[in-house]
Amino acid sequence: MTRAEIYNRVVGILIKSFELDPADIKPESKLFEDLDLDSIDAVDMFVELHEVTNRRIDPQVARQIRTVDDIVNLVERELNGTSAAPSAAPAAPPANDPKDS
Amino acid sequence: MDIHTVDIAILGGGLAGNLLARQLRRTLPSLSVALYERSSDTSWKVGESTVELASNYLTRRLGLSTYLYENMLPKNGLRFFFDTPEKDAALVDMSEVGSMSFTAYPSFQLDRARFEADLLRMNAEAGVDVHIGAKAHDLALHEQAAPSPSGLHEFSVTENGVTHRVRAKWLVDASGRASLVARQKDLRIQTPEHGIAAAWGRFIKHADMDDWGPPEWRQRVRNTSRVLSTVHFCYAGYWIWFIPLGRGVMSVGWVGDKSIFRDDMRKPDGFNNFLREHRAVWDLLKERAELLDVLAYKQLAYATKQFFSGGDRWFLSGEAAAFTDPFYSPGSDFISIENDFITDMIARDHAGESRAAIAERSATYDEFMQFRFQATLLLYKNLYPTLASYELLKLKWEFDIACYYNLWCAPYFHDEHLDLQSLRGELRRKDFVIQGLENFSALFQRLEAGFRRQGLLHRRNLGHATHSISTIGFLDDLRTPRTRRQVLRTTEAIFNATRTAALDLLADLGETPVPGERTLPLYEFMLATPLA
Repeated sequence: MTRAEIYNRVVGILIKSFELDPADIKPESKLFEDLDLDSIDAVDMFVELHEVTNRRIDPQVARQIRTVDDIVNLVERELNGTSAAPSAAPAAPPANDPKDS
Repeated sequence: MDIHTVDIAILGGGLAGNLLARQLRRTLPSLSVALYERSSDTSWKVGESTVELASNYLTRRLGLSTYLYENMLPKNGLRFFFDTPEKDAALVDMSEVGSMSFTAYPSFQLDRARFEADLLRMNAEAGVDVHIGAKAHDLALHEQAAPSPSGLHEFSVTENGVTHRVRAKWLVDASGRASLVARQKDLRIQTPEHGIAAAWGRFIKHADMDDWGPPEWRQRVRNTSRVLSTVHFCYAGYWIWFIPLGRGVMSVGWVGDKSIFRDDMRKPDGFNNFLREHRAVWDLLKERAELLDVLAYKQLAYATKQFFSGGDRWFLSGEAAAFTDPFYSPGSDFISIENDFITDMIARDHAGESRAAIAERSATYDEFMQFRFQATLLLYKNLYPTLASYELLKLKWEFDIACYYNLWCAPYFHDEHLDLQSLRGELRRKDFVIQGLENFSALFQRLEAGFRRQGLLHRRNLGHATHSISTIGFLDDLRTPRTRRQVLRTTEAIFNATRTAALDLLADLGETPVPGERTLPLYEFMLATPLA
């Protein structure tokens, strides 16, 4: 997936999951302040991202997400396998996934 | 050989099979149902305690409310008592966790022998073709990949020395651990990661806990009945239950780490000798109580590769499929959900829904059962050591009961498990839910290790009591369906309350660099990272 394709996918997820107006979503939009998402929405967003990348979300990266662009960066890194602290385990079976230490 | 043909054949006349037969007669009266029970008398079985989900199934779905209140005992929730390392505390000195009023949603203590005998009779009266003392064998499943000549499932039944052949369009195996289908299809999966054994017996002439001790001790719980609770005496690595069956009979059982199990516990003398090592337990029994019978299993838990094959019209229910652990009595909850799924798939099939659509639905139902099994096992796996401590089990209990109501009971109360879209949504989030539960399991294990290292597991095991649960203030909201946001908000509140209490305990141990954030956003609990 190219970066543009990833961006479009992320925007699609935001529109579908949170009923946002496409005109409000920009790369620099802040998720919590500008788009009015909250901690519950974040769970849904991570579920969606998990399905795009089929990889476990890296907790360190997840915590640093502030903007739409940050999400695009995360997906891009996960898909390219260049996350800062990648967790190689696939989505299933979760019971066998290694814990981050 | 005679051939009998029936629409639905049920193997097993225990709880799972009988409840399903009743459900099918109520839901699909035009279909014929035959039930085959191997044993000629309805013998005593454990699994007496029901919890709120199963009770909802029994009362709402199966119309058994009046029967249960007239014939079985209402259950007064769960109750836990804690002991000294020497196991010599008197009952009234033990710290206690348990309510002082009946729970908000009904639950019951079942005398399984009486209940199953009554269900067999009621089912026969309702038109189920009930066969007692009928051994099923020589099973030939009719599957799309391996069709039988008749185009139906077939098996032989021998009763009273006569054998006949049965043909059925739908086959449900509810025959317990001996399951023919599970064996034939090689479905069983061992669970060595949860090595728990059990031994149990029925007593009469035991002491009455509600007529025991000083008046203040009974007034402490407003004279509500402790006897009607499922009483747990808790120890490091095991627990001992007291469950009243009515008519003067008390079920008493031991469940614990396999390494603690002794072979002589299978015999009355050995079982009594083990119980005698626990002062409070033995005070209620002593020599005057008579042990009627005793049974044991060395390995309780097992999983299954598959619960249902809707496309091929065979299904497993109850212990024919899987079993986790009796601590929170989840067995009848599993039966309730399985029987709902089975009835739904047969109804759709009968109504002409395509086999492909039913196969797809069956796969989703199966995935949900596997999720439920995995989540349930996480409540217990590696956590038996926490039973030693009043403080730790109190925290874990408040977490577990709140999650149970919020995540499992509430959706069931409103039949969300039968809504494919809702179920799929839940399954999309399952990895995150499982991760959250694993994180809490790790947190409880860390607390236990810290308490054990410092010799503090038993420090509050005498003289303390908790009679209300702070994490379940949302119970009244469960009467109507909630939005997913409400469910997740509640989850976030439960998770934060539990983590905060755990952080306080860790700080008390001087073991933790307490992080700056006292409360976390929900997603943080569901990432693969420790909670403290």
